[in-house]
Amino acid sequence: MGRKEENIKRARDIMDNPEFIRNIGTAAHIDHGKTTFSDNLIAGAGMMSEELAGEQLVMDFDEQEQERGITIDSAALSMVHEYEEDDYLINLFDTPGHVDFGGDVTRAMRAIDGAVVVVDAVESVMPQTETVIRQALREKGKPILFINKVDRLINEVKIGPDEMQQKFFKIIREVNELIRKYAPNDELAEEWQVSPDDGTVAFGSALYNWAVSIPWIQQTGYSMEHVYNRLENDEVRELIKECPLADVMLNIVVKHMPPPDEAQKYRIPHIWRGDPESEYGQSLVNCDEQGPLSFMVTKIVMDEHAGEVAVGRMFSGQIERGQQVYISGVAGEHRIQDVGVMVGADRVNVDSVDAGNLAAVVGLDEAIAGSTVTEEKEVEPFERIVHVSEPVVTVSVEAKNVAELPKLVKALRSVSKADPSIQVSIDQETGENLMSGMGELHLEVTEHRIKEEHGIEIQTSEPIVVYRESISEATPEFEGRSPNRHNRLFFEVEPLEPEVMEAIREGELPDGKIRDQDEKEVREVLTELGWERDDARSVSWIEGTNMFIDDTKGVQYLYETMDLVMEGFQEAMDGGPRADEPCMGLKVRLKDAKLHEDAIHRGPSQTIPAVRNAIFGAMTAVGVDLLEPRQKVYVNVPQDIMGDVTRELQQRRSTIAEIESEGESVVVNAEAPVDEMFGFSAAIRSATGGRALWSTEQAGFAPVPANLLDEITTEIRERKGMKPDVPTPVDFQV
Amino acid sequence: MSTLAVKGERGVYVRGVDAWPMSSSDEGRLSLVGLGLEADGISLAGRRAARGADRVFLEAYTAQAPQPVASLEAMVAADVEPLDRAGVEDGDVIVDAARGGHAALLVAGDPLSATTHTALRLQAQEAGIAVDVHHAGSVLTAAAGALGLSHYKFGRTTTLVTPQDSYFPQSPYEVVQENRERGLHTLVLLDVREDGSFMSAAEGARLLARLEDEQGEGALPDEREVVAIARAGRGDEAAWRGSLAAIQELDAGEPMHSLVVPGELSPVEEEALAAFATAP
Ligand SMILES: Nc1nc2c(ncn2[C@@H]2O[C@H](COP(=O)(O)OP(=O)(O)OP(=O)(O)O)[C@@H](O)[C@H]2O)c(=O)[nH]1
Ligand SMILES: [Mg+2]
Repeated sequence: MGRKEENIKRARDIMDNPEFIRNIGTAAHIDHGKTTFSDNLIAGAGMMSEELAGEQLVMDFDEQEQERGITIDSAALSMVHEYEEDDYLINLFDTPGHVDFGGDVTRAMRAIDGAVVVVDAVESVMPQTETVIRQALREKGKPILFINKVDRLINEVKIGPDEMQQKFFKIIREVNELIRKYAPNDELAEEWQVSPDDGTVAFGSALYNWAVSIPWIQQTGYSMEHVYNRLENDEVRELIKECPLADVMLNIVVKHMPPPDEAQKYRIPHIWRGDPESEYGQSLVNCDEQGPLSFMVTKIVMDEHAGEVAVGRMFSGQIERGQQVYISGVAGEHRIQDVGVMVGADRVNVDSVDAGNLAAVVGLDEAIAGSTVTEEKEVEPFERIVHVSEPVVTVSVEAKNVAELPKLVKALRSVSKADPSIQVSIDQETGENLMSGMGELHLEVTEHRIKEEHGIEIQTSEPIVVYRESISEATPEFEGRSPNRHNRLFFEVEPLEPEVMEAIREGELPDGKIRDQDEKEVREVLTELGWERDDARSVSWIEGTNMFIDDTKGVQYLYETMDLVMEGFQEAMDGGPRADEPCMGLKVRLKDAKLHEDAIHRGPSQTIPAVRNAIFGAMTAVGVDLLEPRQKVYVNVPQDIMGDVTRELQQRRSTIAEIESEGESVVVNAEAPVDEMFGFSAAIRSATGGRALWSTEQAGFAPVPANLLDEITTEIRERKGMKPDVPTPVDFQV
Repeated sequence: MSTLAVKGERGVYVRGVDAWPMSSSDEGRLSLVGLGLEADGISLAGRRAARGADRVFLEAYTAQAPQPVASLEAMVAADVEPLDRAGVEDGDVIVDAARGGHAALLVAGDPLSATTHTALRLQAQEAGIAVDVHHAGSVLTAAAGALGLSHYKFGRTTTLVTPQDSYFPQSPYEVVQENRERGLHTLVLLDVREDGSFMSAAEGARLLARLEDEQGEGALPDEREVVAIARAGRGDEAAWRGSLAAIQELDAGEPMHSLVVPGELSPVEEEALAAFATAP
């Protein structure tokens, strides 16, 4: 038996003992070294050859990931580590850092109980570092800090030990501020502060495979000075032996990351709203492998042979081959065909997987990332995983061979299931298949996936920006009539407060229909944000960042027509009156309704258009704004060619906020419309001879400049085959 | 207007002389014409109005026309253009056709009863177009008559809608319940779906049973007596009375069907029902 096989066997022996399990993930800004770090842990734990670690990037096994040198998909992997004479099973999710794949990070965080926040010592805390810390804390995942690329401080930046220490303190301070800011409660905000003294902070070099922590220093007797001297004298080989990354870090993980049974005690009430006293609730809280099955899918991966594999976290019970299970929100029973654990690209089949572990399951073809899988029917599912995906770019996708269209439709459905941040739709006017995502890269990667994994030759259009429609003042009341004129709905629309939109994005407010059990929470969050109690109580639906408020009292028959009113509202929010682009930031208020006596005269074909007419009539009465998505751009470039970068940026309607110098290079902070940023990657490469490092971050939406409004509107309407004239209230008077 | 005298066995009937003067306007004329329930159920005045029109439309989405389009065309001596729901509701096609000329809209049953075309009438009137209405038999009156139930003893009419994901109105149950509490009969009309198919009496009865399940107020227990009437007003009209459970199994044949949930029956009503409706 090779070392890898032996380790798998050891892993299996631990799997039913939560005390000896840790579920963790990496989290960091792009390129800060998560994957290199993960690879070295695995190598150190004997799951791959040590020479390959850091070179091969096992965790970036996807061909595209290797080519692009970035992580696209979070990958799960298990390893065994011995600590104080016991074997521990460590399940690790390596997550992507690029903003386009943020949804994937959020979902991975549901499966794990703690995150190793990796920070590049030279670059320090970056915007995406803040995002991932927030994502981890939102799921009550405990953070620890690894300051990476310390070798660069010495080799490139050439700083002395004192300065180095200052640098570390600054990073630690910033990370702790972020933990305080985003901790789910005050208690954890303090408890989860990281500190070198207790060993929740370590530093080192993932690339050169060493790390130090204060406990390690104390235990081994090497001093900090010793480490510094080794580095200065270029004695990395010795340092690796004295302070091997895997041992140092896995010790920290075992000691400071919570085992699943402990974590579930405080995580379950946070992610599940059922009755904690019920048998099922108790089993979840206690991570009881004897209890009823509860498996949460956090990711769907495509396997060449097995097809769709659902990867996720076992919160209770046991999952095994042949089991009959239910998937939340899906009718009927499903049979588990195979269960396994993930080892990089490989899925190793096992007989069963117990509560507290990560599992890879075959046979759940209808599950999506976010599904709850149970043995009993109609069990309260887990809270949805919050990641308000607000797609900003779209492409139309065509099969090169028309005969492959049905296959393409299926493939599109499958990719959007595997990656919920991808939205697919069909253009009503043109019949084109549209695919929307978080950025140009996100779509490119997905196109590639359709070609490779589904074997379809496709052709895509140039990427197009997805705009938003909104209003900037409250509208007058507008009467929307049904086509038969027997039903009249009266609406007003107001701009939604930015704080409330933020609360929606942060997942503090649920989305979709506000159920009875959500009402109290919604009321509390909104009154906290300054809403009147009456308004806060009347929210009946949240669609994207738009809210529906029912202001009516005792309108006859409204109760049985309400679902249709909601459907009309959703449709209106999907595509607004200016250019059929999604609406954002609207508070839509139903003021009154007059409905036909007989249910037959107020069905879908009457009510839905009436609602749409009312909302659009109201919006067009005050003028509909068009908002464009924007991006922050950070470019790190040697001082002497800074001009090439600013020149490139200035051609793109950007504003340069700040230029900071860092040693011999400068960091240019700018903001630009996404529309202008297409092709930036190639342009900046050629402008700087590939010497610029850059990353982006989403920067929300802003109105398109007045001088471009008409032009852009016309362009969108033409592209969609709509009438050229922007509608006015008269167009919504039946 | 053509005046043509026809000599019949019993005397002379002068066609084209209206008993009352027709309203007319330079802006145009619109005739709303009921086709009634059976073939040739149109009134003579209605037929005359349609024959004189430049364009004749047919509204056929709320009920089945009592005879095929070809036969209607022969009857009114013009092309008959069927309109879908959007076409009628939008109203523009019809009003435009009436403007400066004369358009007629043929409507199954009565033009201003079950599905009222009042909105169209208002729209035309606003455009200065003169509107004349030619009433005809409607299921609203025919069902009661056919069963021998007194018109004065009906409460509100209701329609059962085929349940959909986001639309399953329960108010029909409340209507039946309210009417029954007041001793009144309820005429329960059955959905005509967007695809043109009709809800059968049995389907309607099953839906009532389901509403009882969900509402549980006891207005429609399995043993509640219900009357089903098929093809009301036609030569092949048929009626059954039985328990709600029995009507769920009924095969009432060709459309259209309706249900009646009787309230308190007077002696005459009781006799009539016994005579006009059979056991399922
Ligand atoms: N000098 C130095 N380079 C490092 C170190 N760790 C990682 N790198 C390099 O940094 C680059 C990015 O490393 P990755 O491990 O792919 O970073 P990542 O955080 O996984 O990147 P994404 O998944 O795309 O967000 C690679 O070129 C690594 O070789 C380190 O400790 N020192
Ligand atoms: Mg990576």
